[in-house]
Amino acid sequence: MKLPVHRIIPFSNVEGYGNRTSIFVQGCNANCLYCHNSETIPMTSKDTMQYTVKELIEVIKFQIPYIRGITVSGGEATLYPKFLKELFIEVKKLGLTCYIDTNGFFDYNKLLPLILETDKFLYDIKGIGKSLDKLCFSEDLLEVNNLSKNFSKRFGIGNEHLESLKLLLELNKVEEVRLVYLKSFYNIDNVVEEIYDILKSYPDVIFKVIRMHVRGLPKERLKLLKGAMPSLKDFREISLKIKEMGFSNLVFIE
Amino acid sequence: MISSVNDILTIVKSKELTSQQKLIALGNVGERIFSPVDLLGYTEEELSFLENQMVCDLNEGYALYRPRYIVPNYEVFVKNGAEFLELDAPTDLDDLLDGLLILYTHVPSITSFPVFIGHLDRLMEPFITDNEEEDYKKIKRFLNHIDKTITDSFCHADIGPYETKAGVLILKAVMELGNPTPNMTIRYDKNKTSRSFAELAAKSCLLVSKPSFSNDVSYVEDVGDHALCSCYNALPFAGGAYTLSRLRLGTIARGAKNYHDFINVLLPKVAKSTLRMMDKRITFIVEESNFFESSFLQREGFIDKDNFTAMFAIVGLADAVNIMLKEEGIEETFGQSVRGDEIGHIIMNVLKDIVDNHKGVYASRTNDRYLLHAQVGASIDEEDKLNTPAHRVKVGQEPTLIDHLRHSAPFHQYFPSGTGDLFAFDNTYVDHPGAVVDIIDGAFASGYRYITTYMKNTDLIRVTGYLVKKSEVEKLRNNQAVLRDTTVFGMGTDDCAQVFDRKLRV
Repeated sequence: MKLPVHRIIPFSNVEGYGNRTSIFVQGCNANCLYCHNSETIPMTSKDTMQYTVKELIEVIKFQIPYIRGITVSGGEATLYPKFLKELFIEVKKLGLTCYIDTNGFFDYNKLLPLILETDKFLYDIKGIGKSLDKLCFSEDLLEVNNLSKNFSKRFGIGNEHLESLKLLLELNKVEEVRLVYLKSFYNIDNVVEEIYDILKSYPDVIFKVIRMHVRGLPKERLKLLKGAMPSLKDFREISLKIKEMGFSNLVFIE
Repeated sequence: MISSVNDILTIVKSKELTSQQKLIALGNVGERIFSPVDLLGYTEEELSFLENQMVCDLNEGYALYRPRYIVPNYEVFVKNGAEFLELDAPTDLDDLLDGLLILYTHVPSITSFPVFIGHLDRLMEPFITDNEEEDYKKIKRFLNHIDKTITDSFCHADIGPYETKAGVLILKAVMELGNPTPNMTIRYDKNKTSRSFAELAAKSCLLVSKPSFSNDVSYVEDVGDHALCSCYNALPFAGGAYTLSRLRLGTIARGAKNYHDFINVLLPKVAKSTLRMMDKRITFIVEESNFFESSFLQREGFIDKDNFTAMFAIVGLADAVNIMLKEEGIEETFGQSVRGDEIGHIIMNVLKDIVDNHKGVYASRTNDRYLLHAQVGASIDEEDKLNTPAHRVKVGQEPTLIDHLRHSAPFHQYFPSGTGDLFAFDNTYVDHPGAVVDIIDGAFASGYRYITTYMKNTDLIRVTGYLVKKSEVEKLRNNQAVLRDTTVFGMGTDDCAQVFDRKLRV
């Protein structure tokens, strides 16, 4: 069993609390228009390295004692539940914690064995409702994997990602929930209210709102995001509004 | 080096020095006007190592009249006041801070300014009131006063290891002021220091380049009751260090015929000569200068002559190793070379052996031994351009952060009286100080004694062990007088070692 890895960052301060080794897997089941790592979306690429659990453990070990854990990001980490479960069991033996950075598009029950081995999730809410079709399940772009075929129904209509978040929160497995703010596609008020309802009984969980940036995006993505880029002023206005809602642990990334 | 009468006029006529800086420099010329051969009994061979720049006495002078570093126990003032100064013991925060400012003007050192101003949080904590706002104003005013009157950023304050109200207020004020002085260390022990206090200190260190983190466990083990002073010198508390002499290892290596000559002949000879010169200097301070006889600090118990030691220092380990690698035909550099590390440890073990086996004078506090020190560099001679600070990797030859940490950690063990590495981070770490504390925890678990960080784009920057404002250096480069004497050293060191261009750690 091998994991396709796009990149490993030995020291990272932004993928969960503390200093962590970040592993970016290759392959994603979504295709978000503003994705800044769109090279990680295809299931393979020429830059991909294949690692066994043992090989990856050696890479991680090199950073001990300077790190408190690892974070698997991507791409989408939850595409590799069997491998990661096995990896996490070994990583924990080294006294490290294991985090997953996810887009929320997974089947909770199928993922449960991995969830139980995961210390914390960094959980993206990409949006709510039909808007997800265009924003995240687009088939107009090159890097399509056809992994998001029934996602419109499951997440766009069924809100499965919100249900999974609630279950993870009950298990105390969420460190932060993130929302990328853009001006169109979804209704920000509805989305934030929904998230507030879910998070209000979990005061320790961070809610991180990130202003969408388009710098460096490929042209075909830019085109589809026309008019959605919030100015700093837009973002600060929204931030003020969100601050008034009563979130206990808010972070804004301008 | 021996001075000449002409030096007096050069100083008097200088355009860049303030009057106060001239006065201090003139005093230093007076100390160096005597030949150490006549006054201290140096042999001609010993003197020759100063003249060929293999050894540097940092222009301490020969007619010595006070120890180089003095580390007073200011608790004595809290308990008894100061009789010589006709000061009663303080009863509130105002009394304490005012009294300390008075005391500081009476604590000498090589720079004529105090190099240690106390474990500030411990001193203040008993006087902290319920009125946090007022206390904060007083502490901030006190710290700002120090920056404007102690115009030398070797002046050093300690905080920690325990979190206190005073400690938090001090850090808050330090961040708001953004002053170079005082230099500051948090004595850090992950079992004593709260995580939140450590993260606040780490954030402050990124924003205003202080406090640095010292490994309290390892320094307590090696030096016992101690304080961090000057750059990052760990010295006996209520005492200090008489003198500091440093070997320029790069210069010695270049003067050697080959590897064998360097390791087995020249290096030991220079090291032993240096130790003997140190003996003679200390003997003069203790037996001839009457420092202790005339000092109220000694009389009233702020210091005790039995708590002093001396520092045997090195610079240029990287340069010496690079020379030896070249001789072996290896195209690698110190910091990125397995063989380079090996040679580095061979050099340090030669020195450690010699220092451990030399019975020093008036150093009972440290078992009659002088303490090895990794000196941060200076620009006294052209040779300093060819000697990298301490055991650091040359700027421009640094490996990745993780490799750098792994390379440098084992070298920290050799230097009980102080060493330190420093790393420039980007500004994403300001919002994630937990990541910095993790790196510090890892470093200390790997043998690090001292670590500091700063953000590359700030004006206030750590040169090697002390802080300068880049804007002040620019003023000086344009021949304008500046407030702090350390700015001159900062400019010199940047000219020598390009320290403003250290690799950014992302």
